[in-house]
Amino acid sequence: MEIAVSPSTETLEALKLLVVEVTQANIDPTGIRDSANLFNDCGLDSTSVIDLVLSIEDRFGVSIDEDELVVTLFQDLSKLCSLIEAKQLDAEPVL
Amino acid sequence: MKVLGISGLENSVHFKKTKFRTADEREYRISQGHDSAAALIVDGKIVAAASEERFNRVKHSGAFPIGAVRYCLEEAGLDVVELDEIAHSFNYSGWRHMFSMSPESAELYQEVFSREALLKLVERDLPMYPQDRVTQVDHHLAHAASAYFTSGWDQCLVVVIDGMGEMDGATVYSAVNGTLKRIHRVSANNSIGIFYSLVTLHLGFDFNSDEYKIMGLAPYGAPSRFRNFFSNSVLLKEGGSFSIPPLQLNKTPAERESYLATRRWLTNNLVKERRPDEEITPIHEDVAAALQERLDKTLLHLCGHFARKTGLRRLAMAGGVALNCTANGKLLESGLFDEIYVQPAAGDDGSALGAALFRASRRGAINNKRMPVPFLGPAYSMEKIDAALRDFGDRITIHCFKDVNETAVKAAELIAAGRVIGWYRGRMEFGPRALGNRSILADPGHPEMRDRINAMVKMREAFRPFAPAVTIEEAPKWFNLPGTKEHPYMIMTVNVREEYRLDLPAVTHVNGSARVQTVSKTDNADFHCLLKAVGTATGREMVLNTSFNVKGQPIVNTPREAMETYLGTGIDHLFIENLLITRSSTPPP
Repeated sequence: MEIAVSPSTETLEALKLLVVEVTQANIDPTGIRDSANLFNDCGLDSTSVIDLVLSIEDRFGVSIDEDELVVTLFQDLSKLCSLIEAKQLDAEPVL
Repeated sequence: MKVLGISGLENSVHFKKTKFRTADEREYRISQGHDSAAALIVDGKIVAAASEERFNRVKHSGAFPIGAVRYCLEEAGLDVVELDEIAHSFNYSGWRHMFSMSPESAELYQEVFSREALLKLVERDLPMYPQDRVTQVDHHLAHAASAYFTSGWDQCLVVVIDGMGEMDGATVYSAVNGTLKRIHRVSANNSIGIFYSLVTLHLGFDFNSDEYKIMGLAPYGAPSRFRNFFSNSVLLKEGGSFSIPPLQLNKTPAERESYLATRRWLTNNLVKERRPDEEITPIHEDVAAALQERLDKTLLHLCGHFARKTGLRRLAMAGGVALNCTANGKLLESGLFDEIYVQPAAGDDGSALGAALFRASRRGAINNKRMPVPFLGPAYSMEKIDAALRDFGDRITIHCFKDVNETAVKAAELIAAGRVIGWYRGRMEFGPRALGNRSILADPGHPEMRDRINAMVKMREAFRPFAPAVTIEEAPKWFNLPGTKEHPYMIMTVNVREEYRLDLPAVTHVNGSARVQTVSKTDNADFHCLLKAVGTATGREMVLNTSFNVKGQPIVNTPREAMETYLGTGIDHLFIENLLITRSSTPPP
């Protein structure tokens, strides 16, 4: 899937909120950099990744396959955001 | 088309023991891949299935199921190379990138979860088998297939709920015309199965093993004392989902491995940890009651939402939590569904069956019929039985009856006289319950029977109730049966009719419930014949039916194991097929 280069501010802000909600990290979502490494900067770990993915699927109405879950995707928030937006364009109706 | 399904992760406990040493052996059960099994499908028909523990005699064993595999092949008269496929009920392949995040998780993946680890075991135990014919099925999908493809329904909702399968704790599928479509998932980070197991461990029992004891303890307590605690621990969310914040407290690898932070939190906020040898007090009973109530509500929330959303009025379930008879009974009572089917081997042993069924379905070789009572394990010839008996020589006396009718009359006479008998016939059951082929039986009307069997025979906790087996014809007379009157798998709790509760003290729980098993002639003709004879002798076509084993031992498989267990316990008489075996020291009946 082709990934858009610059994600929208709206998606980025929503994603930052979601990240903090999932990791329960004691950080201010507005202080997270757009290119933040979610593991190093936001307390994401191998077990909470799946919760983040499930929350993203719920919140943005997209579907992410296990095979797409590569580490680098979570090492740059804007990349993850672009993937979500690209998927939103292609999203099929969910049951 | 011949597909063999297997389950279990042999290296799981070993890896944990190497990397995370602990003084408490019970913590090693906080791991995946127990209850390994094998199941064989030939041309869409389930030919054989058995758990490895019945062969290697290690309860809940997760070892590569070579004993069960050999049995399945022998039953079908096949050589391993004749199998079109061997399907494993775990598939971590999609998660390999995530496990590469740290050296520790990468090592865990490589040694325990990876395809390479699986293939090494296949190479060790089945060296002739071509590895390109080994496939892997997502764990929850395997469970879902085990329920759907044995339900006999074209359309139904399928709910899988367990501790953890890969990264899932619960999944919901809509099943239509042979296809399973996942419509919801709850991650293992919010697994109600893991949370229930952690409280089980905290109350002094075994994780991933003794959850049914907490279910049995719950009716002794009152849920009100800890209701708020559990409502705040397991949060029901919109859209049928739920989350469990205390499971998110574990941050370091050691904490995550054994949920140390969650367990500290339980000590600080619920009750101090009970050691296994400490007395069970009312506070433990109240914790069990409130936990069970929360599980019941969570399942109603999850299943209810997706019943409404999909309009599906039939529910099929699998996964370890689906063995919780009380929660299943609440679902049945709720009226959310017209029919509920819980696949009787709902634990991980059944995922072997599901892996085989799923792969067979993908190759168009499936025959979706309701699974009969799962007598899918080995039977033993009279030659083998005689050989086993000879070894016990003068310690026993043997009487041989002409046929099952005569045998049943004698067994019924002994049961009516208050004796406890072992009843061993035909093929062994698949799944955790003894359903009349590897059973210990007694009269449910004797008030002291429960304590006597718990103490003298099963050597287990006094609080645990026993289950009744009753003819299908008489079941509605003794029990309130909402919906269907058929309960052949002993997997739902129903209520004993109020007027009979005092008459059935050994099988009626303190709250009036019973884990009933109905028996029809089609389910098990010999067991039905026995129950009919018991009806003539006692006025009730019903027995107390408990599994033929003692605490900590897998259910007996071979005639020799039946003999050893008989002689080592307070069981009064043993029936093996049409033979009555009695200790020489006991006067012949």
